[in-house]
Amino acid sequence: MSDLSAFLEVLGSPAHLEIVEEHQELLRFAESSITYQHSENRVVVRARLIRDGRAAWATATSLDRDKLHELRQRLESSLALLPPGGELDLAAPDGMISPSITFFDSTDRATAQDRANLLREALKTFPANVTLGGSISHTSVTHQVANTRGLCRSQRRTRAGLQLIATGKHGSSFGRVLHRDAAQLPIQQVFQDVHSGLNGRQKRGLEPGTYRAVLGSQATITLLAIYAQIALGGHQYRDGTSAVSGRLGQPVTSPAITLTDDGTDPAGLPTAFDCQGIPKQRVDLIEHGVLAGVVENATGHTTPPAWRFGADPIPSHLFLAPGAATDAELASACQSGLQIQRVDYVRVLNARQTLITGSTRDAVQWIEAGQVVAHLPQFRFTLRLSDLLNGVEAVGQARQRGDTVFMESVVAPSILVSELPVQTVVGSF
Amino acid sequence: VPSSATYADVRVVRRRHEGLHVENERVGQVLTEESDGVGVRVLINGQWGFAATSRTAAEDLEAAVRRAVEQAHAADGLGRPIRLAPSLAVQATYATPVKRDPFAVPVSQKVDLLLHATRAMADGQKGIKGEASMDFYRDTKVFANTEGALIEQTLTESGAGLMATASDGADLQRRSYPQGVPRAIRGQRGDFATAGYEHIERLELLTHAPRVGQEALALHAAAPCPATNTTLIVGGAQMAQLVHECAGHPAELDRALGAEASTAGGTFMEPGRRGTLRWGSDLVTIVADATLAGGLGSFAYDDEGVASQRTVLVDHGLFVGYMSSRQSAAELDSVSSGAARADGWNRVPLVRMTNVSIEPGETSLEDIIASTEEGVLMETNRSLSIDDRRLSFRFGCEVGWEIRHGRIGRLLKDCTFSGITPQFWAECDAVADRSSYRLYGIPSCNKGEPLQVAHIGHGTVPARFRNASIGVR
Repeated sequence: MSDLSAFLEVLGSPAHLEIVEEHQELLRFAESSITYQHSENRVVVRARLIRDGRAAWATATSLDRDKLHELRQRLESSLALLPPGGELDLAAPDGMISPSITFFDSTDRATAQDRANLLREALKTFPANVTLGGSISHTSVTHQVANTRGLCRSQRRTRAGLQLIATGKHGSSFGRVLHRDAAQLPIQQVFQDVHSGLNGRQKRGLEPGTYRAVLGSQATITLLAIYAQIALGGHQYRDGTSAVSGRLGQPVTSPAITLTDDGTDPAGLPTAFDCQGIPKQRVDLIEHGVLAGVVENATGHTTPPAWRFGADPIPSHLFLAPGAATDAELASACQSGLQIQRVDYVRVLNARQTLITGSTRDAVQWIEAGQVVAHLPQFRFTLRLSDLLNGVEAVGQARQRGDTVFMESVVAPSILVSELPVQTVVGSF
Repeated sequence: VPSSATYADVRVVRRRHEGLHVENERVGQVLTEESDGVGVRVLINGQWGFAATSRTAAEDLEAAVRRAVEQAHAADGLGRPIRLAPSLAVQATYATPVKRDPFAVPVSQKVDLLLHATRAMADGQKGIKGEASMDFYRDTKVFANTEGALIEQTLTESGAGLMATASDGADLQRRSYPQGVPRAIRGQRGDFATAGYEHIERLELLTHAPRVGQEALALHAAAPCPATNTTLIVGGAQMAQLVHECAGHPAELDRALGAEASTAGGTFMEPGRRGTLRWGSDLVTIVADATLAGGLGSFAYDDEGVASQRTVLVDHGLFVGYMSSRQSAAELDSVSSGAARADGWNRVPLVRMTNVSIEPGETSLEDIIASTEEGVLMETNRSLSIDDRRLSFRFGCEVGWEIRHGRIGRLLKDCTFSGITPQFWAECDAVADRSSYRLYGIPSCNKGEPLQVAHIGHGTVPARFRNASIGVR
């Protein structure tokens, strides 16, 4: 742990300081061979100085005091040249920090040999005519935030992940698990998910149209994360750019949807505070289809400076409440339609309309009379997420943990939707 | 590095970034970033190890080497032995030609320009939000390998852009100059080049700001893009993104060899189809060229020490070449195209685009429009999605103009077009000439795991496509 008060002294007052010390290890593979490995030790120091209503940020990759002096000089010289600003403040040292356990030795001490052994185990699990791609990662982070108002937070977090894509005769199949504790990583669950998308059913064609569909957990995770990103931030809600602006207390989705954001829940990847040091608070977003709230800076959802995914607060730890249906019951309720393992490259065409476009990836299968009977080709969809979520008929009981590049964790089960538009079908090319 | 290593390289990189963002005549984010560190790669028993550290004391560097060596040993038996295509062991220095050092220009001068630009975009009109940003990067990097290469490069990049957003409560439209990026990215907008502050001056932000604001506002009253099949003219700024997704990414050789299965995916431009796959019409030639002056993907040597070069990817419609690294080129018994690039000291070099450009044709844009009986001209990317084999795509554009009887007509909003790459490009029946050529720089190309963001150039001209599917049905 770094001596935050000494560093703050170097910066002068008022100042905000964030230090992230990260150790990341990763093994990446494709075609059943390791493609590369990655090991990284780094420290990032991020400082914000406020002088006379002006503010500026600076970062460095060293805890050396001379570097910090240099960083302060950089900031002071920038600030002196800026026009006067408005009211600016630092986070208050208020609020309770979640006691969730976020650091596990099993992850922190995982070695290159451990990752290689996990790949060997995966290779043994699948037949030789199936090739594997994916990644195995172990990350440890010490995150500290302090400011000259007296706020001082610190947390150690670990994160372990396995992503597996198996390619066989009829196409590919996907599985992914995340956990703060590598020892609790549900590896067998990934193997089962991947197996389920690979079985030896025949291929059949697919015509453009609208279909009933069971969206697997990982597909649901991606789509919910995008919906929350473009619709459930407080800033968007107030400035009218959210599709749900002005609809607090009104129905916005099917009653089957209950969505919360909770950085304290160990079912996700809990995180105690945001980049400003503000404690993560549970926020009820949608209760049985009715808009209940949005996230704010004050609820611990401030985004870091120069973040690639926007400057407004957005949810960080989403949870879709489980339903009662097993996966088999969801397929049965679907009768005939699509089963989609995951969606890929989903992008927003019009945020206000929640209009998105994306494609399926890996296993897409056909359900007939409640049973999965055939493999289908990949296809492109363009739809309004608000329509899709209005059409949720049932929610599964078994949830998976996932993430996106802009969201720490998302926990969701499979869902059954009444209408999923299929536009461009990509056959063999 | 132990003697068992058949190859090793080291990159020492210092990256400096200054980012300025102004919103609605108010200074938003003012940021300076510095990142220093070392990345070491070793090849032992035909397997890679890579470790990087921002702590550069001797014991930290030794620890990094140990971790890289451990990885390579742990990988034993878990992969085909890696070979490297030959490369000259060069000793050289290079620096981006810069007329005016962007880091020496006072912050106050830059902020003042951005404030004026946002004022000019809004121009007193209600409902307009103006954003303007500038970003400057300088990478100072030293590369050395066990073959004797020692290369020092200083790459300087400058970029700026405008974005006006107009909202009437129910509808939100935006217009950008000179280039659009996803709404969420604050800063890093606009057009970038390997150049100094002179690039910012050439952009003439104040000249364009009023038009950008007016067009954003005008889009509210515009008709929505129809959902139909018609003739589509893709403007030059939009063409940068189209070439990027349809030709650039699928011509990365690591993808073609299956190495990106975990995240980015594969490609329809498979090695066995080189020289036979009809990628587009015979009017279309696409090249990757890291030697272009000022291109955002320009450098003297890539991050494996291979000299920058020009590679034809699509020759008169025929798929003929790849961008490659030493490892991927060796798989095809070829030589590297000099396209191994790493996002800083803490990332391994991957095959990345350099400046991927469409070669100009022989018809002026005016003549292309004049010879179009009915269609739509779309410009400036707003959103995009393409599948993992780079076949099925949909692009959203900020703005469109109807074309009727050879003339530009009314404005269209919410424009999108979709297609399947080789089918779409087969319908290209006109490529604009050099008078419409412009070299764009996009600083936001994602690939790899952990994520790497590459800075890439695209030289483009507008082009026309028949039977294009536009709008959302």
